[in-house]
Amino acid sequence: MKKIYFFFSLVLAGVAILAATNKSASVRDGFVNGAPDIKSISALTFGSDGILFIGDSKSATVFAIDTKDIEKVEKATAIEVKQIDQKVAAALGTDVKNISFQDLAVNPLSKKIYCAVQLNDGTPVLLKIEGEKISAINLKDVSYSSMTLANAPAEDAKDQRGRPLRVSSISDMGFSDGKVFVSGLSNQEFSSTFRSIGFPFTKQQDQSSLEIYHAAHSQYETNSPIRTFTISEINGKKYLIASYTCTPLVLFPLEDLKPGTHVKGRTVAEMGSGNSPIDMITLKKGGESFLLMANSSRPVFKVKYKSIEAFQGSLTTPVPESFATAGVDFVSLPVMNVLQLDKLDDSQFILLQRKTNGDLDLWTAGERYL
Amino acid sequence: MVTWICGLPVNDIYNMTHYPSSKGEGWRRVCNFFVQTLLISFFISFLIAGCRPNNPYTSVSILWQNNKAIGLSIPKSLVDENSLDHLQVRLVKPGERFAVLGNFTINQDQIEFAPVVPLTRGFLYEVLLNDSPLAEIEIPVDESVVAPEIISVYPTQDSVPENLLKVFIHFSQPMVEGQSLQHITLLKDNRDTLKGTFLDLQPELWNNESTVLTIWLDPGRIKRDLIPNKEMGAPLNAYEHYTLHISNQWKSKEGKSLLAAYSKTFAATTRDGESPLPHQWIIMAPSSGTKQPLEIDLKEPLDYSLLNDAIRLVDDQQNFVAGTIQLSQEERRFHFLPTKIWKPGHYTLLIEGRLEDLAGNNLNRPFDKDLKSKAKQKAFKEIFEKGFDIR
Repeated sequence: MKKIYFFFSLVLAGVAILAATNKSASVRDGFVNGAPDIKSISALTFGSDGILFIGDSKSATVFAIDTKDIEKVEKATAIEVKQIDQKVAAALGTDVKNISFQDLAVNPLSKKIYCAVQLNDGTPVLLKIEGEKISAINLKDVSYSSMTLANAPAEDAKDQRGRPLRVSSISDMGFSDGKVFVSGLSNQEFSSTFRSIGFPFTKQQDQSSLEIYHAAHSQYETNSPIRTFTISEINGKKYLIASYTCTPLVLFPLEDLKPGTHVKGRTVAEMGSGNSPIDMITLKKGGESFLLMANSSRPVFKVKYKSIEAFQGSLTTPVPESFATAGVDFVSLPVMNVLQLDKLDDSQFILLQRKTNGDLDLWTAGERYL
Repeated sequence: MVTWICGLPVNDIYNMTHYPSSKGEGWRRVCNFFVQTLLISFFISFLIAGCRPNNPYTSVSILWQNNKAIGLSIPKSLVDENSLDHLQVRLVKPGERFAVLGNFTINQDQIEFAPVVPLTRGFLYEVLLNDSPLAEIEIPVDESVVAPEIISVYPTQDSVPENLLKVFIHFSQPMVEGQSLQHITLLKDNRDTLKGTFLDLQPELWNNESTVLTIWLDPGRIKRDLIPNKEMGAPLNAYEHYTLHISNQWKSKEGKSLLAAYSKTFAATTRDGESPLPHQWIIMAPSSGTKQPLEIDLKEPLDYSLLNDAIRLVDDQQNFVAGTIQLSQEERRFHFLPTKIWKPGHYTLLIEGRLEDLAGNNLNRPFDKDLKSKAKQKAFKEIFEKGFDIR
């Protein structure tokens, strides 16, 4: 009997080891050690298991970097770094006028903050921020894989002239269910591309290239570039929630986004004028979910997912008053001039905010704002 | 003339070493010769030391790559290689010092400091060992850097539709990104600065070389019936005059400001809500056996960037014809200059459906489509073809 137990224990241990090995191997499939040729960092997003995706507009490439930062933290410690721009510039041995912040991303496992900064001469830098400690991620010796955002296969087949790639700017990135989602803007035509790329990357490009229309108010339909997006569940179904240059909030069922299709989204809110959305995240408080959106010239907006779920229509009639908004209700939080926003944990978020005295501060907001 | 050494005039030093005359003239001459020789030798070695660069074996020097200060080299004679962990480089500012992120490595006779980003020209840094200053070094400003210039701004016309969508700015050098709206302003009637005209896009739309910037006039204000359009109206209004101004404070990536500010005055005309129509273009075919340009009258100014990228030419065997593109008559005329002489035969222009006019109307659809319009919907085409013969 003891022998049987021993045998079973061995088999179980073997299966456990194999499962662990496979998990590790599958996420990092195709990774190599070296110096990825990162020319710019336009967008950051975390995948699973400490993998950080870097969107590089200059080389039209998404890099997956193994941060090896996999220690799990359930509840993040709130962070506050005043005058973070001054501190980052000093750590880089330069002046605050020589740097600009490109994006922030929080590792969902360790809750550590990663920050992309660009120097005036174009040099990209990836930093990790832990409290007041700022450290640089060495991108010259790292385990990574990459995927070039090539033209759609149909375009390549016609084009034998080796022209530049069509995506010229990565406006946002996200990760969900083993896929990296990338929205891009062209510096030529007025359109956006939205791609979903299977991860781990394979030689075969498993991606969609979509043009997305939205039926705007009244009688006019336009094709507009996505500025920021998030992937979330609404009524038990996965949706792409996107916001545009003129701030409508639009829903697309993820299952409808197929290669080569033109998808019409459902506009559920018009968030106001003269504004450009910057970042969107989903947070929870007491079992209720909220969508938070940072804006270029409006406060941070808070939308209840319940309201989005309840709004079954699409905005097809003009908003009756000037300076009015329409569709799903939302609340303006008393937080202005937010340059970057990201989720720290389920109920906390971090903001990179330009304060009224001109300081650029990184701080944590919690349930009080939800 | 008094020469100064170490803050004292030479004559004073001489006087300090002058012996009293009671020892006799011969002895005095010997002394004078000795002192003068010593002074001259000291002065020459002082001059030599001052003129030549720091000796890499005895002092800290700058490591350069592509005209950037990518690090510092510290001779091992100054630092024991076991003291690597006790070395630090700090940025020196008046009354403040900041530790600079970077790595120290041993390379033969040198210890090299590689900062995360190149050291900044014009800035002072200090190297410390066990918190004691070892050396101070300033990264010199590059006086040879040439100021950047604006080569051209598209569209080149002095009248544009009131729903103009894009402006392209060409610079002679790579420019600092992310600051365009601090430097670009639009004036109405050369008096009022218009706000919210251009879309604040981050990241901005630059080409890979950072020499061409695309800026959009706020599409939310151009699209009919959207709230921004209803609140603020279109960015431009027909029959009004505008001046696009670009400040000379805009810097190149090398840190040099624009040579001169730039201004372009133009008038807005009526709205353009129609797609370009390639079937109305007039092709002026060249003669075979020549390298004359193929000329196309586009009937209206089209988007400069897309004209250079969205039109190709194939022969009757569907082979791409090699050549270069030129535009004239304010982007109304397209010239294709072949690399080889034309052969007689049938040729086809392949025009991508994404080709736009100045108002963002492409070959497939206008910028904003009237859903109530009874006009027949055109079938979407990725490529539009237009054939011609060369005889």
